[in-house]
Amino acid sequence: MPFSVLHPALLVTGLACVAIPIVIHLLLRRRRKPVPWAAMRFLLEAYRRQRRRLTLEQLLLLAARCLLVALLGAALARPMLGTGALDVGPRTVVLLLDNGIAAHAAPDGTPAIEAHKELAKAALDRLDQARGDRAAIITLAAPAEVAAPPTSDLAGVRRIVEGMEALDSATDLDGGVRLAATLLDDVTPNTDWLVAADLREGSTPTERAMNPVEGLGESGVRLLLPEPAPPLDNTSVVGIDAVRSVVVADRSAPADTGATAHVRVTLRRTGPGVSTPALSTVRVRLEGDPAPIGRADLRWPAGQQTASVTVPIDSGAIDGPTAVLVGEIDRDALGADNGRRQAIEVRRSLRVGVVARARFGRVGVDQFAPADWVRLALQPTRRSAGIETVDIEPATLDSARLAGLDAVVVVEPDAVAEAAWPRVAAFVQAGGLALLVPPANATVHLWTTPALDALALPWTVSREAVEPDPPARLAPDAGPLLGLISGELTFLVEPVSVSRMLAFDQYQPGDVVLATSDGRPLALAGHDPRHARGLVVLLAAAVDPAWTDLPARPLFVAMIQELVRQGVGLAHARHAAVAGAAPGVPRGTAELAALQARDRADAIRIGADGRTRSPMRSAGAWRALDERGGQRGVVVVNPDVAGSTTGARTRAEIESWLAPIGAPGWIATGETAPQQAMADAMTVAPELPDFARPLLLIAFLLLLAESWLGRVGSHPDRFGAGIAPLSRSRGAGPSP
Amino acid sequence: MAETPETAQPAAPGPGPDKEPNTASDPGPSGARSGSVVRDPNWPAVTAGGESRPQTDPHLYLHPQTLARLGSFELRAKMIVEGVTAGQHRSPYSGVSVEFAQHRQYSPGDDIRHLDWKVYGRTDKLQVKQYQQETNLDLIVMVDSSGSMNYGSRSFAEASGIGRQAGPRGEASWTKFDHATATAAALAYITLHQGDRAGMVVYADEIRSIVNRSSQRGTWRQIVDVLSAHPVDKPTDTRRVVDQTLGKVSNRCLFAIVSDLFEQTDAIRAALARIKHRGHDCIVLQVLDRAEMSFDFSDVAPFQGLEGEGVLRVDPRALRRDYLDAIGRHVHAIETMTRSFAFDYQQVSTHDWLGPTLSQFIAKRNAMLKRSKFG
Repeated sequence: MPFSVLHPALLVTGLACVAIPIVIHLLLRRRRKPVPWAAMRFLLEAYRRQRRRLTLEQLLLLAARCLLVALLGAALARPMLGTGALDVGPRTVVLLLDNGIAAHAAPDGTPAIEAHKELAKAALDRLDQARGDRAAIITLAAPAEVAAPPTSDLAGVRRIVEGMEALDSATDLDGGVRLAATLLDDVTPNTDWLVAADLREGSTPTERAMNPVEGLGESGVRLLLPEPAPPLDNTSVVGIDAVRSVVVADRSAPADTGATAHVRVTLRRTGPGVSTPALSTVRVRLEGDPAPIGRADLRWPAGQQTASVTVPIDSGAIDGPTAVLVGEIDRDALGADNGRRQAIEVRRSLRVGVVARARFGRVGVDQFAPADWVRLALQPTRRSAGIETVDIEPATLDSARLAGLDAVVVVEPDAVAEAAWPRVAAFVQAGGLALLVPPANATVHLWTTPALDALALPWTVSREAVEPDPPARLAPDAGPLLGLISGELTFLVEPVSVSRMLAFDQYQPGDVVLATSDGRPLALAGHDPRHARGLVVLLAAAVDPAWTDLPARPLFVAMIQELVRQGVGLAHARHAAVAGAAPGVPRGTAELAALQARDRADAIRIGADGRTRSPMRSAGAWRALDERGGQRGVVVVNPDVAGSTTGARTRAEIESWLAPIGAPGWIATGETAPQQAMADAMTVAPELPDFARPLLLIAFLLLLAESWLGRVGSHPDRFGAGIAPLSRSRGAGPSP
Repeated sequence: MAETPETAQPAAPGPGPDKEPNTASDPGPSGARSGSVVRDPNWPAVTAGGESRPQTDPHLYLHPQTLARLGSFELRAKMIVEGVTAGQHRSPYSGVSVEFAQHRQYSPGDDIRHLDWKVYGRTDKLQVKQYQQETNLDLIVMVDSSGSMNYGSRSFAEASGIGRQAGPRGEASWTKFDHATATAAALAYITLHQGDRAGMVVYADEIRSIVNRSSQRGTWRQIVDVLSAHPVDKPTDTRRVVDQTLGKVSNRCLFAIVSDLFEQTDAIRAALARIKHRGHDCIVLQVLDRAEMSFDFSDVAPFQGLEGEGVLRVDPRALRRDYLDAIGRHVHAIETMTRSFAFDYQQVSTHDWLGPTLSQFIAKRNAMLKRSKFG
């Protein structure tokens, strides 16, 4: 019959402790101070009589004590018959605890994170520190991270669990599993991975395949999952877009000249309530001010999941050059995604530089040069507010002249020196907008090479213009830059024809702002993804009637206005991220301080790469501060609504999704208390015959025998009638 | 009467510095050396005028209550002693006295003043009247100072009864030697108090110190000085010491042996036989500590002999029965042996107050003497 012990370490310790009685025996022999004794001859006489018996008793006593210690050690080691006992040795539990945005769900008023914590604590209750059990914590708020590596300090792990709070990033179960796999070398074979999550749609993105984990099957690790949570009605604010992220509002101007702005708020419904009509009230307010500055109602028809509503807001209420708009709805069962932020800038006007050689004297429309058309488009009337133009000679294009501008329109790029293009690139990198227009009179457009190289744009442009025949018409589709006029674009593009244009050989489809009906891009917008934070817009046709009749069409003014206004807005509005990412920050930012915080005690330091050193898992708005405390901008982090969808998953769906890492075991958390559910789930081996109790009984009997032998058996005075001391009655007195 | 034999020096006497008390005192009728202190030069405790000389205090040995209790007692000789001065004890020499003893036939040379003319008138025989001459008692106290006497389980502070926390040698326990010296001092005090002569022998394997018999006033101080000694790590050789002592005594004396008598019974028997053979009386006072009589130790410990027996590590509870049996047999043998010589035996415990024990013993002894033929 094979024999095994549950705690080999205790057995070894117990056997080692056999030496303790021997050591004590030896130490007592050496260290005891001798007792002076006068009647030694009688003691020696008594000793000579009892020497053999005493020696034997001492040996028996020592053997009994050694055996007693060994038996106790063996009993505590839980000896068992059968090799299965080894399977229930020291256990390691890796807690994959979901503290993402889904953990905010509180259908009954209690956040789901509390249930996750209870489940985790129930698992910890099943562990035994004396047995050598260990626990680890991996938090699943994206990106997943190891909150506690495998440790036998179960009390410390429990404290970490109890102090955990739900954050605003999505659940990263895939990343958590991969992190847990990195701990495989540091865990015992008897290891459980316990996922404490609701396993709704938001935390189980089955549309993304789970990455397989090598060696997981051979390691014997069991993945334990709770029952998937039932669906939950949830409405999320998934988008807030100010129509212009840079609001040009001249407060000295009359109210009808721009004191009202618009914010588009997009909502999403998930859960069983999607099938019924509903009404959502959308409010827009400023961060730190509970009073709304705009309000709108959104009526949900049955079955609609996503809808947008444009909320007019009073831009005059915005006090300061920057503000954070918060679009929110009434709080529902998952409140973390009921609001979303966007930072906007409020400007009195935009300053746009027009790079073209100067012309002197007044000219008629028939003699307009491209720069004239551009200036006219930027300032169509004398009363036009919001955009100021600055003429810049191409030969004097330098950083000083670009400083203070929001955008620059290079109408004659062929006149720009090759050395000046890096200054334009630096302007873009700093967040500026550069609109490049081909020169009308050039036959070979050599300027494209240095310009695109300096701006590090992944586009390739032909050096010679092509002449569509017949002239190309424009497609009514437009990119985000022209989104505000997209509704009228059909009518605006209809009279426009393009008879000459540069051909783009290489570009990203998403960069196309406007294209001809045959798909040739007329305008591209993009930026160097590595460095530039601004925007570059490149027109394929010169602003000249020989190229296109666009300048004379209504589309041109609208297009130039939108390109500048939206382009500047996009260039300034890139400092936003969803929770779980490390957002980019304005150039020169040293740290981020909470927008509502007065001090910088909890400021987040910025790394050398211009991003926060660790991902930001909580939503909020921060001031970007430089080393001297000056504000460089505003950074907003919004909840990751990808993780807040509350539709239900079935076991089959989850098992199919988790198939690359193995078949999970399910914890019956439905109607069972977490403690009992964990006890059922974590029991792996049948109870084997345990010899601990018989050994303890033998040890107890041995203890009794040792007590009798050591205190009664060898001491006759403690046994029976006892021994009377020597009587003094005899011999007292003189002889008769 | 000459006192020559009694003033002989012990085995290794040397002109010890402790003679000063004797020379300072009056020589007395017994001669210039009567009452002198003769001490072994190796005696560790007492040196003449040295700083290490203990402060001899009679009260260290005799508690005032003990003195008060013993003050009214008389220590009487059981046999006829050969005293040199007139006293309260019977003398074998018939002489001028008021107490008639017997008649004997006249012999030429007898003093005709002792002829009983009345008897001559009635019987026509010359008979000489003999009278019982009363003489003095010589007490020789022999105090054992062997290593075994240096044991005591009673605290000195409790035993001294006068507030002393430690003995003159700084010892914190009241040893058997302390009790023996107190007993010896008490006996000497009684003897001197009743006008008899007292001597002192402190011994171990041989005589360590001796105070010759004397009844002078300074004798008490000399005895106390001798008793302020310290036991030595030597075994007891009572037979040898008795031989040495008897060699210095010519008249009949009362011997008092104060010892734990932890030696072979044969040796003790031989010593008592010599005393008996020389016609002396003897009192055996066996001093034992209560711990020796109960042996109630509980912890395993190494026991170290005080006379070089070595160290024995034992469990005392395991040996208690056999130990008590062994020491009980020894004590019983001593007692039986002592009584077989018609000597008195008294067991003295260090944990008992000396006064009641001694007074009870002396009272009993005197009562029996009165009932006996010597009374």
